[in-house]
Amino acid sequence: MTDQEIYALKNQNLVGKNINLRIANPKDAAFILELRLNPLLNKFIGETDPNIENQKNWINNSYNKTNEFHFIIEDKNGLPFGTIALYDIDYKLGVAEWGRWVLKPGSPVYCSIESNVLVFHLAFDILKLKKLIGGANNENKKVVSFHKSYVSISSVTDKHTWFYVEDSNYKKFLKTFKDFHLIPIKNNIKIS
Amino acid sequence: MRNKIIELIYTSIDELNEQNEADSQLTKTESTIIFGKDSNIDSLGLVNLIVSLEQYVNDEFNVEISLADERAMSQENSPFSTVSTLASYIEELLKTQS
Repeated sequence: MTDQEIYALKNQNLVGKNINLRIANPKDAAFILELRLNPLLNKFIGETDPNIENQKNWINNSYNKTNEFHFIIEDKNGLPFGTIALYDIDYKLGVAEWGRWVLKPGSPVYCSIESNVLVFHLAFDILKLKKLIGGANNENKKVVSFHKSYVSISSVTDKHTWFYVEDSNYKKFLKTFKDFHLIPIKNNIKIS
Repeated sequence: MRNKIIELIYTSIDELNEQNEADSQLTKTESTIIFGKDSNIDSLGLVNLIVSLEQYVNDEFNVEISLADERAMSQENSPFSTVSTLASYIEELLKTQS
């Protein structure tokens, strides 16, 4: 995939049934800070610089990287629910990490499922990656439990559970949550 | 059948309670609210409960039912409202399957 094609992808939304994934832009800085500085949510995520200008710069840097997709999860009217990202993409090896998954309290049930479906769709169906790597703090039990329903576990340490997703895991996820996506066959989610 | 289904729901509630904070625990009664305004669990908790319960039901009754239903999980009068309505919903799904 060329850099031009990657930026073209970044300038489109990934369209799901109830939500879209849109690449974050500097206007999202306040929302992202609000999420990441929320004490209910930031127990299990890395430290966040509270300066809004630094956040805007971080978002711009992320946009400029061809090996990173940092998304805002939003409804069809543009109401933001959270963030999710695909990053450290190694196109040659076909490997990437996914994470930075934060949903604001009270988000609809479908957000958690659809946001992961769309990221996996981007990774496996569009970018043709082979493997995604992720991890979660063991104390973040709900997230660990959610991922355990479909991922393969690579290791568990005192602090973290590390896991990976390959095409077979993706298919299992699609099957379990078949009511939450538009992918009866590959590449059926529209890109607008 | 209904008693067995309720037993399976309670097993899933036990699992969910292990993931939740002390102030977000679900009690094991038929009138316990699972989904809705007064629920103690968030959306990810509900997803985990449904996925776990679906597995238990499929193993116990040896049929494949799907509980992860977008409409059922979103609507006001959701079959996931209480333990009792969830048990009835599963019973109905199992009868349809057999």
